[in-house]
Amino acid sequence: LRAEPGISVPEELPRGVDLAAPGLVFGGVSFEFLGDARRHDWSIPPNVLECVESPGATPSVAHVLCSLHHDASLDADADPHVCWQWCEGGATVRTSGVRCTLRNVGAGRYAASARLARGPEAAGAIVRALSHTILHREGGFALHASGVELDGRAVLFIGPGGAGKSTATLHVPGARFFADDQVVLYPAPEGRGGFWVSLMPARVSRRDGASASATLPVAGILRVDRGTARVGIRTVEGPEAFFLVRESVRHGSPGEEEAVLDRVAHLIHEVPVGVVTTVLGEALTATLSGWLPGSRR
Amino acid sequence: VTRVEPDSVLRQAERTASRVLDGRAVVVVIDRQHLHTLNRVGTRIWELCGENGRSVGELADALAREFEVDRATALADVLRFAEELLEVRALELGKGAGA
Repeated sequence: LRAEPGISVPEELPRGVDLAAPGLVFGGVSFEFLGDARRHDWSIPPNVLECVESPGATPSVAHVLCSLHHDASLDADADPHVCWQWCEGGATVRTSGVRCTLRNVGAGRYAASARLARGPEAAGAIVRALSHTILHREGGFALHASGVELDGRAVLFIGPGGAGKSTATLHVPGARFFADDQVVLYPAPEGRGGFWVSLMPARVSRRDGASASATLPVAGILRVDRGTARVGIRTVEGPEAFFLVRESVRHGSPGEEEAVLDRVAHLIHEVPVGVVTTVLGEALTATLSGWLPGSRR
Repeated sequence: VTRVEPDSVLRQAERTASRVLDGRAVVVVIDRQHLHTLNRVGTRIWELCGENGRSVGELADALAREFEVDRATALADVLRFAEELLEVRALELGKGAGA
């Protein structure tokens, strides 16, 4: 893949069938691609690019080496749903303009071979589809959440539509904006304990140059509850924490449910969960800092 | 509302998943993506139903014994719980007790 400005790439990409393109990290997975990216316009679309980081800039839970081949029969393919099926150490992955086979070739290491439609949409689609498929195998899952960065860690806000997740990110002066809608969570790479979170592409992004990086360790998860009197946080545990987090998980194929429940149980064991009462015009920063374990403020 | 009789057999619906934390079950009805949290009595009934099923009468006997309540009270609790969870499709009626 050819990266857009902002990603470290050589000025001139060599031409050839098996082009070794620079790597990138998306959704906790580091990618390395082989293929003639320039010839088929496999540039990364802007909404995916803002979720991409350079290898080495952030830890990744897995690495995938993927060979890319143009398939003209997919140029008109337009089903945006990501379908994937693991069978032992291999998976088939299918989404708009993408057909891919994936193999697990060692701990956290994968190899993929993909046929792609021409153009940036297919390039973005394969990055998203492969990261989703690999993360599922590595213990990750997708969550409806907004979030901010406070002291280098992510505070995520969850709740049903209209709960005030996005508004809550505006109530934390001193924090950097992280995410508005979709994220993926996964156990910390290299067994370091805790969970990490990565940004997923948004339809309309509020991110700018002052926003947090696309991947952060998770400090805490808060269910937003609008109030009128005073700001506060109530820690929840056990079935209540489990319920609130599972309620905000983006569900994939129905066969995933047992795995999702195991991951949510793991998450609430590692990451504090609470209910935050927000009040319009009232800052959350001090309350958040007092609630988060190890806060420097 | 599904009518439940004392000899009706109840079992966990096939398309559900659950976890019990601190003695309380969180049940997911997969196709609806609805979640339900059960109280301690409901959680015990849920566990006893399992995938194979128990009759309402068996459930009432077990609850009366474990929670030290009279059988009529236990039976009323089971019937109310069963109707609620059948309504949300977390439980289904089985053909016979397998436990």
